Amino acid sequence: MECTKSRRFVDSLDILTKKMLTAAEDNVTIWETSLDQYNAAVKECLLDHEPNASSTSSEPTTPVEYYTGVKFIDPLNYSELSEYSSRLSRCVTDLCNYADHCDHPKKLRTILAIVRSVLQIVARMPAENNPNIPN
Amino acid sequence: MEDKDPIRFITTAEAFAKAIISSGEKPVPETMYDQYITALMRELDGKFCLAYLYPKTTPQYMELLKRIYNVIEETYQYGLLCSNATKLKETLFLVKTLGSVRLAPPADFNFEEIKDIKLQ
Repeated sequence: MECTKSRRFVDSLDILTKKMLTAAEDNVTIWETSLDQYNAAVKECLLDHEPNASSTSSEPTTPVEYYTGVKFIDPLNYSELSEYSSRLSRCVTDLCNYADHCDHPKKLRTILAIVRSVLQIVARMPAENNPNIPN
Repeated sequence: MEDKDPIRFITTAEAFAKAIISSGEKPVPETMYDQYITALMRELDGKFCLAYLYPKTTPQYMELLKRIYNVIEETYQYGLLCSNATKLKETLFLVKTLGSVRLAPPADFNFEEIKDIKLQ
C-alpha cells in the first residue's frame, strides 16, 4: 500500500508516543530523534496545504484555517479517516495519562507541545461518498 | 437541571488560565483547582474529550472560537517557560480540555459571514 504523507505523520506520532512512554524520564536522547522526525512530519503536513506555494502571503484561505491555524491530513477513504482519528486520539490520551505520573519538566513541556500540535490536526473528509458511515 | 452555558465555560477556562499563570511557579491551591475542574466539567457533561458546546448564534460561535484559541495559546506559551512539573500538568490539562472541545455550529451559522473577521 502506498504510504501517504498523512500516514507517515500518524506513524511518526505513534512512534514518538511509544518512545515518550517507554523512555526513562530524564533520558532525552531516547525520544529526541523521534521528536525531530515528528516535527518534520508536522512541517511536511502543513506545507503540503499552503494555499499557494508561490505566494508570499502566509494567510490561509479558509476561515477555519485562519482562526485556529489548523493543519490538515487527508485520509484516502473512510476506513483511513476512522483509523487516523482513533490513533491520534489514542496518542493524546496515552501522553496525557503518562504526564499525570511524570515529573520531568522537559518531558512534560514536550508532551504539552505534542498535544497542542495534535489538537490542531483536522482530518479532511475523503472524496469517497460512503452512505454507510456510522454517525 | 441547570442549563449549560458555553460562555460560562470559556469564562471559567479564562479564570483558570489566569490562576495558573499568575501564581508563577507555585501550583494553584488544590481547592481552587478542584473548583475550576468541576465547573468546566459541568459545562462539558463530564466529558474530558470530544465534548460539545452549543453556541446559539454565529457571533457567539465566533466569540467562543477566538476565546478558546486565545486561552490555549496563552496557556501553552506559559507552559513552554515553566519548569515546575505540577504547573505543567495543570497547563496540559487545560490545553487538552480546551483543545478537545467541539463547537456545534448554530442554526444561523454562515461561513461567509465570518470570512473576513480577524482573530486579534
